[in-house]
Amino acid sequence: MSIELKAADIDVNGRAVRIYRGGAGRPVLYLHGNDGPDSAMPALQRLAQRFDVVAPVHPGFGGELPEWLDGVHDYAYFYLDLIATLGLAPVHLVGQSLGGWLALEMAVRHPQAAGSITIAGSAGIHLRNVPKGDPFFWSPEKLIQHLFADPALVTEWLERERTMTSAQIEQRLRNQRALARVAWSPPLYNPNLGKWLHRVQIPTHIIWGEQDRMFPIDYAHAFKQMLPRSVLTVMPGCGHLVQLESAEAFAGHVAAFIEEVAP
Amino acid sequence: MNFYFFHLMPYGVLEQSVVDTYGSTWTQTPNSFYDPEEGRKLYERYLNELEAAEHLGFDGICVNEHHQTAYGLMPAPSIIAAAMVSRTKRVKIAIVGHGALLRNNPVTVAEELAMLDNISGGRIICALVRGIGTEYYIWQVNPTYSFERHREAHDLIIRAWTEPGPFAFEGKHFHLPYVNPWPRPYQQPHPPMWAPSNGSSETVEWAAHADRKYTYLQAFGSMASSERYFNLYRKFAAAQGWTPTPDKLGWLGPVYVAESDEIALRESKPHIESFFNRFILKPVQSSFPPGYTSIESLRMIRERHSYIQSGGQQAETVMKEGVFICGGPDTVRRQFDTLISQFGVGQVMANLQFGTLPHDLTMKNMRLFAQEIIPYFKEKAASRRSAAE
Repeated sequence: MSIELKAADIDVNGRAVRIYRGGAGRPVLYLHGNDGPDSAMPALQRLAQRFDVVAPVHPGFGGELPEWLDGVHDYAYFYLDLIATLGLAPVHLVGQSLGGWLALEMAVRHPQAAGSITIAGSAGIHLRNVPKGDPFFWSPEKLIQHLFADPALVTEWLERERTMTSAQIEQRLRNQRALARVAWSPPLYNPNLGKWLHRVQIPTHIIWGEQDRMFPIDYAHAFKQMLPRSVLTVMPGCGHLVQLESAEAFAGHVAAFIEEVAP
Repeated sequence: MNFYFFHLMPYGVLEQSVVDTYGSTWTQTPNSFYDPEEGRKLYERYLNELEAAEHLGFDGICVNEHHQTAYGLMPAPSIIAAAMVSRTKRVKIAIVGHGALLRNNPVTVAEELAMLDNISGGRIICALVRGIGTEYYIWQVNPTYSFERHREAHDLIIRAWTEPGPFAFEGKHFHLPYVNPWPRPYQQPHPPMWAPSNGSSETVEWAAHADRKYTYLQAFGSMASSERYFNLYRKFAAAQGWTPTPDKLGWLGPVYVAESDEIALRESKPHIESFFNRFILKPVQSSFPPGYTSIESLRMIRERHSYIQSGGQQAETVMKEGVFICGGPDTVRRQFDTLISQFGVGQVMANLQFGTLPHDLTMKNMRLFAQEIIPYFKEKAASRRSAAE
C-alpha cells in the first residue's frame, strides 16, 4: 500500500516553490537529485505510510531560474527557511545526489534543524583521482549507461530517451540549467564543505549503490570518515539512482534508520 | 563595401580516422596528434596566406579565438594579430572575436587590443563573443551566466577604453576597484565593434541598440537565416530610431571560386566536407551546455536533430542552403548579389581556406576572389554612390 503525495505551490519568504506532500507522522524532507522528485516517487509513497513526507521541486528545476539562485548555499538557506515556514524542525532530511549535498550544506549551517540526515549517492565533496560522472559533457546515452546497474533499466531508459515528448525535453533542459547554475564549477562539489562536516553532530545515514558510476563507492567511504555519527548502507545491484533502481529496499533502509535514531 | 579574408588556421593534416575514433576534434581528440613540425609549417603557411590578402587587395583580414581543437590553431588571437600587424601595412585586422568573458579579468583584452591598435596605427576591429559551448567546459565558466557575463565583460572593456581612470567597475561577475589601463586605444573613442553570431535574436537586438550600433555578422548561416537576421536587425534599429548603413551588416562564411561551377565543386568538395564533418563536428551537448542559449532554441535543436555541426554534410547540401558559396565567378557573384543588393550587406568576411584545403588551392581561391568578386562589387557600390550623388 502506498499513499499519494499531493502537489501544492507554497510561498517561503516571498519565494515560490512547488512541494509534494503526503502521509502523517514525523516529518521527512526529501531533496531530489538532477532530475526532479519523479524518480523517487514510488519510494516516497511508501515512506508516506509512516511519515509526513514533503518533497519540494528545487526552484529553477522545471521552470525559470530564480533571480536569487547563484549556488548551493542559496538552496541551503532557502530550505532552512522552508523548514521554518512549514514548522518541520527537527526534520529528517533525505537527499539523493544533489539533494544529499544540499542536506549537508543545510546541516553545517544549522545542525539543529534536522533530527537525522540520510544521503544517497551524494554530491558535495571531491576526491582527487576518483573520477566522477559528468552529467553535462556526457551524451544523454552515455549518462544513461552510467546511471544504472541493471542492463534492462539501461535499455528501458534509452528507449524512453528516443521517444521523449517536447514537454519532456523542455523539462530536462530546465533541470539541467538549474543544476548547472549551482553545480557547474567546481563540478558537483563545494571545496569548503569538507572543512565543516564535523559540525554535523546528528545521526547520519549514508546509502550508496554498490555500482554507482556517477559517484563511485569511494565517495561513500570518504563521507563515512568525514561525518562523525554516520553509518553506511551499501545497496548491492544498484547504480546511482538507488531510490529508483530499488525503491522498496531504499524506502525500507530510510524508514528503519529514522525509526532507530528517533524512536 | 569591404571584403575581408577570414582564416581559421585549422590543423588540416589531422586524419579523418582520428576524429572517427574520438568523436570530435573539440576537447576530445588527444593533443598527442598535434605534430609540432607539421604545426610549425602550417603556421608559416597560414601567416603567408593572411599576408597575401593585403597584396591581393582585400580590405582586411580576420583572425579568431578557439580553444583545444584542431578546428583552429588560434587560442590567443592577439598573437596572430600581432604577427599580422608586423607583416602588413594597410589592411584592417579584425579579431572575430575575443571570448573576453572567459577570462578572469577582461581588462586584459582591452589592454591587448589597445596595444595592437597603437602599434598598427588604428587598424584593429574588435568583436567580443560568448565563445562556443565547448569553451565553457574547458574554462569551467558557468554557461548559465553566459549572456550576462558577456555583456558585463563588454561594458567593462568599453569603459576601460573610454572612461578616464582609475575608476571602479562594480559588476556581478567582475568587480575591479581600480581600472586604469595604459595604453588607451589609438582609434578614438575606441576601435570599431562587430557582433558575430550564428543567429541569435538576443545578439541582433543587442547589436542594433542605439547605444551601440555594432556591425552584426551572420556567421556560417544559411541564406534564409541571413535574410531573417538582417531584417530583424533593421527592425530593431528602426525601433531604436536609426537606419543602418550597409557597413552595419556583415556576412561570414566559406567561399570557393574557380573557373567554372564544375571545377569549383570538384576542387572544393573534399575540403569543405572535411570542414563540416571533421573539423567543426561536435556533439550537441558540447556545443550547447545548459543555459548557453534559450530553452526554446535548445529544444528545437534537440527535436529537429538538424544541427549543422553534427556531421554527415554534403558539399551540395551546404551550397544549396547558401552556407557555402561555391562556383564559377558568375555563380558566386549572383549569390553575393543577393546578400549585397537584396539583404543590404556591406561587409563580407570570406573564409577562403577551410578544412584540408591545400595552399595552392587556397591561393588560387584568394586570387580569383580578388580578381572576379571584389572589383565587381566595389565598382557596383561606387556607381551606386555616384548615382545617389
